[in-house]
Amino acid sequence: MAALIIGYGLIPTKYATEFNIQHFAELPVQVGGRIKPLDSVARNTLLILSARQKVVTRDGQTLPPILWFMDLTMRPELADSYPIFKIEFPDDLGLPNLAQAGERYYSFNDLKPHFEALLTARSNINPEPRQRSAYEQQVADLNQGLSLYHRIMHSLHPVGGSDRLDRLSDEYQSYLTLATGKGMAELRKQQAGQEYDSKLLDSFIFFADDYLKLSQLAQLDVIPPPPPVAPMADWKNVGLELLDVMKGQALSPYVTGYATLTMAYRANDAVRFNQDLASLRQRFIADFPNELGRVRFEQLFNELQVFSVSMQLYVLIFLIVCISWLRWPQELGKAAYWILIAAFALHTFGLLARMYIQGRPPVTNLYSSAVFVGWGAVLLGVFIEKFYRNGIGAAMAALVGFSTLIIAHHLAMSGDTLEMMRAVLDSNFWLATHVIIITFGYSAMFLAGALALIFALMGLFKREFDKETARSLSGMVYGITCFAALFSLVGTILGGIWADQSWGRFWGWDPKENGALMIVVMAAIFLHARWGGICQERGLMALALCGNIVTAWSWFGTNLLGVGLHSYGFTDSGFLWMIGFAASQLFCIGLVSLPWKFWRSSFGQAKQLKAS
Amino acid sequence: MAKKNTTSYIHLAAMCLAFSALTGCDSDQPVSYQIPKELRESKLPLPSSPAATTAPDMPSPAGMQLLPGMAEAAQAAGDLSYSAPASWIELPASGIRKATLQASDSNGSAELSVLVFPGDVGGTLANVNRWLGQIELPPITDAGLADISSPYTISHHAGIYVRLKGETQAILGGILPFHGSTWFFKFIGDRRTVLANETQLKAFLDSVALEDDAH
Amino acid sequence: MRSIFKFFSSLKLTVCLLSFSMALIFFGTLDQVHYGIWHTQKLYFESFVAIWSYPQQWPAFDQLYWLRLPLPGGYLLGGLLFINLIAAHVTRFKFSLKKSGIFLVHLGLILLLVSELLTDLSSKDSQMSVDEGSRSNYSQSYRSNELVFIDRSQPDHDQVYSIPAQLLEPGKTVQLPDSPLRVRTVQYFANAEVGRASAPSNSPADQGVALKMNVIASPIAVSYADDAINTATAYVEVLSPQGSLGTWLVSNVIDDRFPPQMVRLGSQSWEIALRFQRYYYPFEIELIDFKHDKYPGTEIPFNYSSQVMAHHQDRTKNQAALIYMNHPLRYQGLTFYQASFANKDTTSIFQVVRNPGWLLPYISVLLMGLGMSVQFAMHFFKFLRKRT
Repeated sequence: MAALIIGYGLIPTKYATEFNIQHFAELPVQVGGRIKPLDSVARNTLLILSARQKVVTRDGQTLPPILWFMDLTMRPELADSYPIFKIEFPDDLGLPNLAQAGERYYSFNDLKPHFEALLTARSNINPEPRQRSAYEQQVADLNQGLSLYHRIMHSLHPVGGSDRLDRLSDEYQSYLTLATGKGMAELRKQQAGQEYDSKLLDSFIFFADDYLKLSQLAQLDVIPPPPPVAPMADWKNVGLELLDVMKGQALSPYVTGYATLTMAYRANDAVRFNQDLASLRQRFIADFPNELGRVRFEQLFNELQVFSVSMQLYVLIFLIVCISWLRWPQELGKAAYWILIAAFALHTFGLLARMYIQGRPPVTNLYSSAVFVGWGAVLLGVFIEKFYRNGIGAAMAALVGFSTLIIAHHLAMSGDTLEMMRAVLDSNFWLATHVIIITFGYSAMFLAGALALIFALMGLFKREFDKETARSLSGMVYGITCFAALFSLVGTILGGIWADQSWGRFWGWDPKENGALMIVVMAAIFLHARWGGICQERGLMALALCGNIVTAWSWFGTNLLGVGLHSYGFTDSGFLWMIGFAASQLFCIGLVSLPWKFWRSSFGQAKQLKAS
Repeated sequence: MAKKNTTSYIHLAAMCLAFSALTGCDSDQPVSYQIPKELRESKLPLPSSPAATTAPDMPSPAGMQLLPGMAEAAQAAGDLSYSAPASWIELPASGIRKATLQASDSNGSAELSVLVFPGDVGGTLANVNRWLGQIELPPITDAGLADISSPYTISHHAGIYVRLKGETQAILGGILPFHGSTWFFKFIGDRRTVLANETQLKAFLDSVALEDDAH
Repeated sequence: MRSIFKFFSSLKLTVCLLSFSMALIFFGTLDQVHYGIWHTQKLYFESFVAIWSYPQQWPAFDQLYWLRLPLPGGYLLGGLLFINLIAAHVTRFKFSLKKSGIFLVHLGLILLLVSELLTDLSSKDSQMSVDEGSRSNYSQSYRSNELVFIDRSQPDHDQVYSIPAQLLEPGKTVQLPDSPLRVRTVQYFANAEVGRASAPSNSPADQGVALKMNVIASPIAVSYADDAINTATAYVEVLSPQGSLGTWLVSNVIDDRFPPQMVRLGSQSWEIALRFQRYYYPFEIELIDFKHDKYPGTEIPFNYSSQVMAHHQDRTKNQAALIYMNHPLRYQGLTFYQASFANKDTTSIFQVVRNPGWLLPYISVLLMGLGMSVQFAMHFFKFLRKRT
């Protein structure tokens, strides 16, 4: 069954059309300081607007992101009818006639009559993002989404209806003659107070004005500088490139290339489309001989959706292990172990692929930290499973792996997860190691907490849970917590060293620093409690569960606080998840603290006998 | 065991003493010290965090659409020479600013900036109204131009001299159309300072010489 | 006696103190939302007792506004942990190879606590901003202020008389060292609104800017935001042996943009001003070039760097350096970090830190890392041997 999941997830899509979609998806664009394939832009934009990577049109067709992107940029009149704007609670927006029962996705055309109302609503909301209510957040998101939609739509060519888009080449031709000679001449004549051709001048000014607006509007920088190209050179958007013709620069062939592509696509001429596409692609390869491989790899990686497949595998593993505790322990146990290895391999591949694409160490933002926490926990789980071979390690690893990947998936909704880091986070030995080690510490703490959870559940409900198993489980938790203590302490200290190198102070009592220190102290409490015999198994498990809460606070809670902004992040959606998680762990602590007579296991019964 | 206790006490005490010596409390006392001779400089910038700075590269004077090509045109425009009044401070030129000078007295301060743009930037009325807006005065019509401006010769060419007096601020200036571009000499600041320095400003305008390839 | 020792060296006390530390850190972090990082540090971590009050923004504030939580402060907890650790080692621990790891870790921890205390007490932070092409020989601290009298009468140097703003208590008189002048503080505001009055007003000042430009000051609440700069303002009366010379309004916002306020006594004159505390150095830092690189096509910065030259009065100590993120300049017992920039990338702002104990955390880190690795390696191998 696992093979099915992997197979289904990993086969790249085949597009059933004559247009060479694959090569179009690999066309380059410079975003956030990095050269990406258009495919990434399409997926990220769709994620921001629709919270998913596909479009379902009103007549039931499903479009992959790149096809939607092509329609958006080259056949905007068609794209406007696709329901892609996700509105969770349309009734709350207070816009009459908008909400349709059961519909969560609305198209541009649906929203058009309400633009003015949306704009006024936008101007009335709280300017401070962290202090907005759910309604205000929805209004802000929708406005931003519409603006993004508009800007992407006009990234390959100027704004206009079908009459303009079908004649882009002619437009550029006439513009070129005006810009390079005659237009400027007429302008100078007007300045000097001489006779001039007003019609010519007017059309020149029209172009200049229009392209100026386009340069401020177009979202994507698709035009690279002419060769030889420096790697750090800024790319331009279509409008800026057209404007620069007035300064005497030649018009980049990419501009005309995109124009002919658009015209061919609109005319449904697959042959011409593929020809123009091939020449654009050749030019890209010639200008950037080293980039094609990375761009293609990124496009492939987008399609493979490795983390989604891993997630499904983790669920499968968890189910298998649960069943293995009831029946066929040997076979299912082995199966679970090997599928775990496979899922871990995929997870690792995803991590490494991201590192390759970005050229950076694995943890750079919250999304990647979530992926890494899962990876770390699964790695530790694999080792535990190898030593103890009782399925517990595998199950807990799968649990943590799955949860973190789900969290990561939600974090990805903000758009590009491969963004560039700020200068303070510049590549630096202390920083890279500090972040990785601390995140590993998080993984270990979460795994220890998950093991403590299993201890509680098994101890309360499973009869066969005996002293031996209890002891080995307790030993596991101890070992993992030692690991967590080591890594958290080292990571926190490395963070201090990095801070000293960057800002002149080893420790600044920053919320993030405080969170990390709390984890170290928590681990220290656990270890000292165990060494001093202050707590027995139940107490230690409760402490490990506390550790879960503390780690969740350190990882996410500190992000919610708007330090200096007088905001506790109550309205942030993450806040509810944090409170929910903390409540669930407190509940588990409650479970673990139940008096021995409630413990059905033989371990619990023995304890009760001793106590009475 | 007792001996061990005593030794440990001594160790503790020694550590505490060494510690307080190390920290050497810094006293809050008035002090007096010498420094190398200083000139009173212009305003020191207050810190701005790097993450917050996202200002676009092109400076654009209030209310003017800075089209691409303007900065290059400013570079291309000829050189400016002048003689600065004795009591004014000269500051470095940058970008489209060809010169910057400062005057200050007990009433306040004022700044003279010299800029050049291609074309007529909308015409005299539009430019005067832009300046009026900068000192919070209402815009005027063509009819009102005669009240606040008069013809003035700058660098042997015909320009205009503008006097705008607001509540607390004032602008005295010159606008000179010059072979396809327009030069702006704007003296803006605290009203009393500006008006007190009017003679110096006129002397400055008279001393202006622009590089002239056309004649 | 023995029971006291037993109490101070017990593991239970350790666990108890650690738990209190967690609570302190947690509530301190919550309070940073109000007080900013710097002020919370003073309240919670550099004190003996801290009190947390129920925040206004939380639900049920109307019912729970009275809730106050007293917590042991950073110095108290740190001090007790220090004593606990030492006592435990002195009474219970015997040095053995098996426990060497733990010894090292605890030693490192002690050193870290000590170094942090040292840093709290003796380190000074300030900022130096330098324009491209020019030099600076002083740095300023935006959190402390000083009242200065500057005598510019000498041809080759200026004489500065400085009174730290903490000494400006209303009603108190301070003598300027080596000078006939005394300063009596009429009023002092830690933060104020300073502006021009529209009508003549009743101001305690009868000299300088307050008189000539009709400037008045009214006190406002101190801002604790991390990058807020409070406008320290005062009305001070200057006294001489011959009597009062007048009362001036001084403020750190009345700076070089204004004409200088002068105090005259016979043939002598001093410039009087309240300004950010300055630290002068026997060298000048010249900014040769500042670079601000961004990721292409974005405004996201990936590098700031300043090419500087330090010109010391003693020529043999001149030094050239490149200061950039994560790469400070350590010079003459000070450390210069690239903090910020201004004026469209033509002014570089450095964080200048004097911290004599800056090496201590590194040493403690080394000790702790070594200790932990040793201890856990031993455990791990023991565990492996048991399994096989």
